[in-house]
Amino acid sequence: MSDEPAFAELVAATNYSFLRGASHPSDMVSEAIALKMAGIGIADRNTVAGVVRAYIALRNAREKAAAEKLPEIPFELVVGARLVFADGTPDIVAYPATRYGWGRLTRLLTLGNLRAQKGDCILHFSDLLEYTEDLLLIVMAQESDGALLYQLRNAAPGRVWLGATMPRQGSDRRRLARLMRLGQASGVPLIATNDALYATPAQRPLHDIVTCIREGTTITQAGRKLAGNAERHLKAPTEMARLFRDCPQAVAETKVLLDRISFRLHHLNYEYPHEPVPKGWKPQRWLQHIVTKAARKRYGTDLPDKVRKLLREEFDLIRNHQYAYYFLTVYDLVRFARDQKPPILCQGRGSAANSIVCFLLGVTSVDPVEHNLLFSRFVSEERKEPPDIDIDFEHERREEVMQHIYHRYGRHRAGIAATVIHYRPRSAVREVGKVLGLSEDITARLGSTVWGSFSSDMEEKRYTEAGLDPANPAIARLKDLVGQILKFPRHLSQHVGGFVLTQDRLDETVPIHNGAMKDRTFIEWDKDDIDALKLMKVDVLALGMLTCIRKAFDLMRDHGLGDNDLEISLSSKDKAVYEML
Amino acid sequence: MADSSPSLSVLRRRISHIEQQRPISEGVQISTGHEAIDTAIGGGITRGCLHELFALDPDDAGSVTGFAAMLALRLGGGILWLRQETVQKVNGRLHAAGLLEIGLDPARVIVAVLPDPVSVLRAAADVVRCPDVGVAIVELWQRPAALDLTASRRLALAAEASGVTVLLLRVDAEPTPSAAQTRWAVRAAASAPLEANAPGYPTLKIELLRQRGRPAGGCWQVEWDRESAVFRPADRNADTPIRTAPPGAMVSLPRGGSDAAPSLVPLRRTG
Amino acid sequence: MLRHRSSRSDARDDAPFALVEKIRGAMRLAALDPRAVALGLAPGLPLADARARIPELVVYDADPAADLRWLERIADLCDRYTPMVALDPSDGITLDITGCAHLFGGEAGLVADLESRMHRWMQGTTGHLRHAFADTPEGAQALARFQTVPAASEDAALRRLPIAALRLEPETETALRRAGLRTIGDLATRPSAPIAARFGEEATDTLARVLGQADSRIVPRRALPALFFERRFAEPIARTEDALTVIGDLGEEAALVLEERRKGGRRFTARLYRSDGQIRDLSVESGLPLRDPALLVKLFSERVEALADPIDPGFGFDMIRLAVPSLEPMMPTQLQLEGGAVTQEAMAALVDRLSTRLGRDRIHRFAPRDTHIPEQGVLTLPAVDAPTPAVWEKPQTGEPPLRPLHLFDPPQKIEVMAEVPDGPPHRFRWRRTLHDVTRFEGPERIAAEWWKRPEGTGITRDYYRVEDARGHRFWIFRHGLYNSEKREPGWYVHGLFA
Repeated sequence: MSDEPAFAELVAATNYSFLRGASHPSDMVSEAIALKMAGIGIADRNTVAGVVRAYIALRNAREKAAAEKLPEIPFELVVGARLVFADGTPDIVAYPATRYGWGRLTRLLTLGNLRAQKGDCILHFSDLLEYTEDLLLIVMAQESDGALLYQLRNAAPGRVWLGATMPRQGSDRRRLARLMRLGQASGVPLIATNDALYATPAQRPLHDIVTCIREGTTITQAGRKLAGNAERHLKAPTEMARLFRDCPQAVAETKVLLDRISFRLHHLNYEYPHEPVPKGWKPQRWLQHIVTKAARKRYGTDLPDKVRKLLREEFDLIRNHQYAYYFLTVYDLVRFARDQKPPILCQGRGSAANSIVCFLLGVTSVDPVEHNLLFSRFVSEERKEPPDIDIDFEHERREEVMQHIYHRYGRHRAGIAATVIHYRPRSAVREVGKVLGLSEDITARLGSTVWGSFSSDMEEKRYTEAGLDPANPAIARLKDLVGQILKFPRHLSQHVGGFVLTQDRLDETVPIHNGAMKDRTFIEWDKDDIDALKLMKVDVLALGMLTCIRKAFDLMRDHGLGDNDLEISLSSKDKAVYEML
Repeated sequence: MADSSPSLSVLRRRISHIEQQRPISEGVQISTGHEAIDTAIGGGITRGCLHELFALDPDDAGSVTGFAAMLALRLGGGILWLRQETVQKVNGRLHAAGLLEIGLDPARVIVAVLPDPVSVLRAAADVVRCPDVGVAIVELWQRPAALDLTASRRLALAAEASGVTVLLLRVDAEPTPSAAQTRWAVRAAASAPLEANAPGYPTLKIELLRQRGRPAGGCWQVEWDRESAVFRPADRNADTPIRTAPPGAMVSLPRGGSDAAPSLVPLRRTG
Repeated sequence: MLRHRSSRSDARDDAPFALVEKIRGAMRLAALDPRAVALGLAPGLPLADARARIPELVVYDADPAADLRWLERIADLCDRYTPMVALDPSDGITLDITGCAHLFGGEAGLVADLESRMHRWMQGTTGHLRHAFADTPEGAQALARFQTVPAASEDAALRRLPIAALRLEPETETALRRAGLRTIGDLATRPSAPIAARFGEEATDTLARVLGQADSRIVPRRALPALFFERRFAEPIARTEDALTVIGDLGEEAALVLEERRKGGRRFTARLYRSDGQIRDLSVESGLPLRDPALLVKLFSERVEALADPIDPGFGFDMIRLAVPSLEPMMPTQLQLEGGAVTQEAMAALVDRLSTRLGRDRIHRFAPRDTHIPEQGVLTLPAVDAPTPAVWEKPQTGEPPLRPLHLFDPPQKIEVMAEVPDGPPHRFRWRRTLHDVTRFEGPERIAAEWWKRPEGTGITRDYYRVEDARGHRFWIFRHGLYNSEKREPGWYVHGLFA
């Protein structure tokens, strides 16, 4: 073991480099661990959308090892992005060394994202020069890119490496010799990488398929658009050492770079926005203050024991988990809606919405005292994840609430969460089938048998249902490849209404994208990523029924039936209503 | 004399037509880009002539093919490459991707693979008569009986008449009397290595065995520079003649041109 | 219209005979000679019944494939009258003789000529020919098969034919007969809408075509050429040279038409009709559109010279047809322009000549093909075919040649000393000579095209450019990844560099 060279693959793409990478982030991490690498650097094309998945994979592997009483895994995950430029600059892989550096990287990516249409990122080399602080840079340069290297070295002294690959394309050693000369002349160390696009050589067919989908061609016509071999996989340290026999220091350099990175994703300390708390107040105190005031108003100055007990329990839980800001933020939104003229009807739901705190804050209209609901259900101590409250608004007026959020917190602090659009069985069969040159009627037949199905695997019987023999080589191949591409991310989209709000600049935590709709921006992490990193999300949803109810209320008012709101109608004990229900 | 006779004007038109069709005027010397070689052969490879290229050792087949392709590239025009099937079988197919690596656009080349020396020579006679062919490369295996002095003389005469340059490639063969303007032996030579001791650019040892009307001899080690399409000296001690000419006399060929009326010569020969 | 009942007649001349075939599980009569018909037998009758009724019946197995071949031969024979010849299986041929009959002395003359040729060609075997002329193919087919007595007019004759002459689906025919409709005339007098409604549109449509009320044409068995020119000889010509002269004459005729239309042809076909019915086709191709008769004759004589199986004129050719299958645009006159145009033309003519004489597959040009697999990266296409504009990827400046000039097909096996698992070769033996590797570069790893292999992903090659001590440069590869693909990967020389 000890004589094995230390090597970390620092230029590893995942399938979040859409239609280029051919492995899930988790597969890259587990293969790197299996190969006994010192670590891995996940760097997708102009995005950090996949890094949290890698982070979760490593966390799970560590937890599993701990549970099985295995020794701790000596492995580091570092995260960054492969910067792909619009101006012909060679790709540069950037790793933040510190939390500050992470903010520089996400702001740089945000800059490129907001410049482009949805789904694209337009970066220029000059942009990078503005944001190089605390970034470690690997330049994937050619021998002819000397000028760029000098410029970058001067902009980020001591933080630039020259990426060298040995892709088995014939002239590898000659190219390496030239890069060594260039590195020596410019004082930039060479760093060994395999510029990996997938975890194992077995993924070459899948990589060819995604290449074809990207290029809009078929496997038989793709020619040299495909890679000539299966070399872009993660390679074991010993094999990398063998490949880099002419330049062993390039392999050693991977450890040097790895050790220079102190930033880990869990350093992203989330801070709730401070707006909902008046100056001079602590969040917990302020929350307790307004909730108690509302309780006295409802239950009388002398609170019933039941209420008192419930409130004490909930306040303790909120204090222990530091959720005060969360409830106050939700309260803030609800109050905004209620204060509109005319008010926007809204209604909270989700497990946390059963709490008396939510009821007293006006987030819900269901009195838990009357309905005997248990608040503590909403957070389990183990999950340590933020409580979940979805707020429905009248669908015609939700946009007012959303623009209020942008207005109150600023676009640099508020963003909608992403939804990762994955390959579904139907899209997978259609696109893979097309690449393999299967006729449309076959893919249509297969596609139609999974119509409406949200199951994520193509079971064997679906092939037989479509009248195809799963043992037929062409069909077997299709089946195999479709099975692999299922759950691959296709692109990012925005979540229907999950807002992430921060106290500091959101774009220093995660890159922001332009949404398909005007005036919408979204971040590139989805619900799972946000949960894993313990960021707070508020779901601002649109509900048509609330619009309907509001119109009913309007009618009642117009016909002299008085003013109504959700609370009154729900707390009434009209027998006829209950019977109707 | 007025142009009253229609047949005479027809004749004139035909003559001028033939002259126009010639890509190059007779006797132009095309520099090899290598000063010493050019000097030795009086300025360059002569167009409209027969030149013989030998690979005395069959292992040098790649080198002699390369030399032919390089010369053809410098000579310009369309290339018709006639190969005897045996050559193809023994030394492999002509690989277009490899021609491209020499700098020769494969679109300029038409290849004919023919069953035996007789059919190669017959086709060659036809090709060499077509004035629009720039270079005819005729590749024969060993020493076919059909390639006698008469055959070689016929090729040379036709080449002179049409302006087509003929490169006669002889793999695994010893020279025999012929009507060639120049005769070369081509061998492989060690290349100057690139980084990481990689094999370098095409490097050949070419020897001028004979030439008509000038002293023979001379051996040069040359490297082919694809980007500028020139031969450049490969070894620093070049230009020293190594061997004298081997047996196989060069036969003199009556030169058309100066004695005969120039415009009528091609007419007689092509008609 | 022609109709042949049978080609075989080696039986006793006076015995009735029939061809039998297995239909619906039983041997049944498929075709009968007139004597058998006269004795009351009919196709479809089980053989056992027929034998019981006519013990002396001579029986042969039907051979539909042979019948079809026979029919094709007769169709070839008819080609001399018009190229508009269609088969009407299983026993008919339809000719469109519009504007042709006068060449043979009218319809009667044409039939006489055909009958005499058939007779000569069949050399005494008996055949039964029935023919009919009509305005529509279906009319002629119906009359030839079913007319028994002469009629005043074509229309009257057709109306008198039985419903069977329409050759409808058996169910439709039965239904019509059950409705009391016996002849075409019966059907034609009824209003067509109810007939169509009751018996299907097939009945009314066919009726309309037979009676010439709807347009109908034959589909010739061979695609009609864009242009064709032919010449017939009262006295057959017996020498191939004379035939070439005639082709030249026809070429002149063609040139006039082509010139007028500003067209040329890239393919010309001469069809030589021997007086005994044999046909010989000669085709020439050219890379560029062509119409010069002199050039055409030259190409045809090259073609004739190159024939492995020389032309046998037999008793002579009595007709020659020159066809231009398709036309391509071509400038009005072939002007002597400067530079390119002329060059291209003379070169093209040379290629045409060589291809004609030596075979189109021997003269080729290169075309690139987009693949990593070296031997599949270049296509050799017949030079005579119009070249597609090819874009060859230029090598990178300053790089040495990475692909060899000569490529072995198949690669040649060599013995190699090399490091395992994937080291470079140090020394190898090829053609009994030992080569010491002094310089090498590689590997260039080229994986197999997995999508072409139903099982597995194929064998990977590791290519090396190597130079030996004497300066020879080779392209060699290790076939298979050590251990993961092959236990003992083999080595091959795939090419030679300059």
